[in-house]
Amino acid sequence: MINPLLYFLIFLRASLFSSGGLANLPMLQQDLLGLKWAQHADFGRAIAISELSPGPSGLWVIALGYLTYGIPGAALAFIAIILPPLFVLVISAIYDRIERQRWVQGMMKGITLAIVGISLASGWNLIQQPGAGWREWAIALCVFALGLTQKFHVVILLALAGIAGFFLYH
Amino acid sequence: MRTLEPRTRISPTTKPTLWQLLWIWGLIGLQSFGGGASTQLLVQRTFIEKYQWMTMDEFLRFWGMCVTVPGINLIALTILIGRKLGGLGGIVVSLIGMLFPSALITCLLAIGYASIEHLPAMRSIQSGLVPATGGMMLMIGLRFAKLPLQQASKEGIRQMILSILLIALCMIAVAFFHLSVMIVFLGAALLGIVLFTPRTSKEAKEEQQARDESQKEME
Repeated sequence: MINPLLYFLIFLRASLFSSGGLANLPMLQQDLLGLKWAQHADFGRAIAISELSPGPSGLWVIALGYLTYGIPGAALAFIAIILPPLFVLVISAIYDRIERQRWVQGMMKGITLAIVGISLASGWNLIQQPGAGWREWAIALCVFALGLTQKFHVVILLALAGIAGFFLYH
Repeated sequence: MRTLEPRTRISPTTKPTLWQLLWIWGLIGLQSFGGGASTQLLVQRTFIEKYQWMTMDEFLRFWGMCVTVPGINLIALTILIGRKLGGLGGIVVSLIGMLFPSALITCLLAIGYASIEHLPAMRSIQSGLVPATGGMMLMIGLRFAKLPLQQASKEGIRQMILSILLIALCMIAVAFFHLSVMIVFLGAALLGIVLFTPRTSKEAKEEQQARDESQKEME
């Protein structure tokens, strides 16, 4: 039998010690498999489902919640991923207090430039996956170029990429 | 001590109602297939370009705070934008709008997934989506770069070179050395304090002006 409170705390801990995406996967695997509350296949299935559905990729834990514990599982997972980001309100309050300090200006400049570098890096990592070749770069560069024109809706860009994938990888 | 002028002022008439906010975030949540890249792009296009409720400068500042908190950064961003546009109620409706419809679809798919799991067409379509989000992420990086680089170019060649070097350093650290993003942010924050802290308050003021000017040029 699944203990709802412990189940929730496991999801909350995984969310607290990760920064989005799949970073919470190893911790959830250890905990849920250890308690036999989940099967190995549930994880792969949950990730695949979240890739198909809209919303941030971190929502995969909601699918995991549903697969392992039905609607209550999905609801508990949902609450567990909303709580940690609320901490940003504390950060923002601190920032409002120290914003006028000179060193904070320097620090924010450093972070802003890091955001640029890390965005570029994560784009690179998404394209340059193991076994990637010309097809990946062709799709990525087309989306990049079409996106820069500002004329195409994001959903249209994704649909075009899906269609291209359908033909290129058939 | 100088007072900081708020960089965008929303007059009450242009501020969204809570229903409008719920609807807008619902649309963003439902349209963002393929993970964070498309969501970020939709948020930027909606709030900065379409409705002009915030500036790119503000967005970058918000995102800078979001990356420091645990959990999903995009949820933190939803919270900050929700609060800016609608206070506590804004936070609640933004979170519901952004997450609830997508979570519902995720659950529905979980029910129906077993039947489409083995279709090869699904795999091919997904193989096309991943590099597409990669292309979007590169584009987002480029858009992010515009404002700080424009500002640096006003402050002289040394600032420009240092800025580009720091961007390259962060990119290489993550893309090729697979360093944890948290460590890279920490390092960049420290380097920022050392390299970019204005030495006098006069310099700080000039910098602020350069920033506001770049912002105006972009609008």
